[in-house]
Amino acid sequence: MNRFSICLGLFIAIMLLSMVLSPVWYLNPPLIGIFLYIWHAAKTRTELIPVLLICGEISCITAWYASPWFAWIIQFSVIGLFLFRLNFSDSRLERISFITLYGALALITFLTDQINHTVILVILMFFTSVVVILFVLVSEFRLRREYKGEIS
Amino acid sequence: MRLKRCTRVIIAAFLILSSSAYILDKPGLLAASLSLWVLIICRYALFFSRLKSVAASVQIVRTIDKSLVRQGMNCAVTNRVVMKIEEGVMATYGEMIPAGIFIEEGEIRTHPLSVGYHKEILTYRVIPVTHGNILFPGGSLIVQDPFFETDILLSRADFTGPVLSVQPAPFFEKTGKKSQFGGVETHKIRAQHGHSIRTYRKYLQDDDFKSIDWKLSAKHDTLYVREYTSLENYPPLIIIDLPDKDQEFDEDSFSELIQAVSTRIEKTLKEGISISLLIISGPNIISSLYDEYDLARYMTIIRERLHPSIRIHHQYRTRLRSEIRDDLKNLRNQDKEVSEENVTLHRSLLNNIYHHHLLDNRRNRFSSQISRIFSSIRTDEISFYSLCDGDISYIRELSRQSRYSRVRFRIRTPAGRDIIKMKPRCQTLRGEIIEGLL
Repeated sequence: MNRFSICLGLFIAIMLLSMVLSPVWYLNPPLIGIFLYIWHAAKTRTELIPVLLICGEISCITAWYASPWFAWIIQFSVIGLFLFRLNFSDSRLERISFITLYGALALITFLTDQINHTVILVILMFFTSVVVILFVLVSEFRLRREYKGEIS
Repeated sequence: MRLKRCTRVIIAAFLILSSSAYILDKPGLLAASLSLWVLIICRYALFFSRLKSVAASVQIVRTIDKSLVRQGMNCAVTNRVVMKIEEGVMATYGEMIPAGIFIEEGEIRTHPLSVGYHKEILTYRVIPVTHGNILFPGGSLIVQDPFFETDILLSRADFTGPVLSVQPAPFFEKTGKKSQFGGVETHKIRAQHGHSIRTYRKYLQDDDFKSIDWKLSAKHDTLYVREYTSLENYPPLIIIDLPDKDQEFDEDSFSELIQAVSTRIEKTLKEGISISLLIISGPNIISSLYDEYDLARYMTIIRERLHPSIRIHHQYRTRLRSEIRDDLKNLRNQDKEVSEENVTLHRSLLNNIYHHHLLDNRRNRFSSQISRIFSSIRTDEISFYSLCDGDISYIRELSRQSRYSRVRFRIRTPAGRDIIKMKPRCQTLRGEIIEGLL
């Protein structure tokens, strides 16, 4: 069995399982159908690959109603399918990146399960985004200056 | 840094989900948006580390075949690029071309390179248009993966160089004493001679026996030979004016011009008449071919040379000396009238400028070259093929020189006589013979 089959199988299995516990169980079958259709179409039309990810994230939100950890497993499979579809190689750096990503997602799942209100967290997230963007810009600026010869 | 479409879609989804989480107060939406956010950050961190690794691996060795060239001459540049590319990214290297240099031919950019160790060689020919020391400023490295793309200018000291020294092509002729002895010796022997007898002279060793005049020789008891006149051909001169490569021009009209020239050359040569061809681009002489019968040579020149050309020199609406003299006369007449102080000052300034300009006897190189060409090839007609675009000072100079040499000067342009109405600058060609292309 290849990695695509594993992730796809995991996605379908968890979505079916969450139908048992979720109050919005009626959303799961059409979401599975849409996801599979986009997955099949994305084999020839690469512009649909990001749409596959978005559809997967919507499936995570519906699975959240059953259990946050179902949502985490679905994210695991959906993001895996997305990255595998982009043909990223199986290098050491990629593996470390995967592990870091899923570890962070698990942490996010755990923390969001503890909260009741999201308002402050959303504001905090936007603020952190701005800081991260500034950091990215400064790093890139420094790299450009280094190769322009302005800093040694 | 540029975001690929995939990244833009993910960021849009992140913003929608996080806004929805804020409005609807659902932790599930927040978790989904956070997961997209973390995904983008992880991918950027990976991309940035690969970018640094690729940039650090780039090595460039650039060489030029001549370190000293004349303005307008070409030289070859060879660039050896070595780089190691990580998995997951693709990289392209492109040369940065310094200002004042045109690329004549060759590749200045590698194709997109994927993972591995690459040694690429870029070879191209350049034509420096400006003079001075020109430093090659380095190159640019473009790195991309499915999420991000960025380019880095490699202009550090180890990526720049070498320096190309460009000698200026002079615009003015050198001033100096001309030869004090009149007449030019020539060793030209004409193959054909005419019927008229030019003179009789005494027989010299190796003279042809057929030219001995026996009657005269018997009379004077010494051998005399007849000298006949030589037959000379007055080939028509065709001047083709190529448009400036830097400026926009009508390509259809230019193709029509080339077609007209080719047809004219072919037709004239078929009649057994030789042609002289002069190719210019503004006040710059590109190439010439004098008194030639071989159609193949002309066709080769048409194929290789008749393309828009770089104009090293421009005349910037140079006025004729006669026009300046007329203006000076008008100014002096106007000086006699009473007028305001600032008007008088302006006239006096113009007077000085014109006066100094007339005192400067230097001729520009184009005028001198044209003068030499017209005196060396004797012709009775000059056909000037041009689009008459932009500045036309050099056309007026050609017309003046042909009038001085008493040669008929015809301007042939796609628009014909209508060019005067279409282009205001061509108003000054009103007195010339302007025809459409046949």
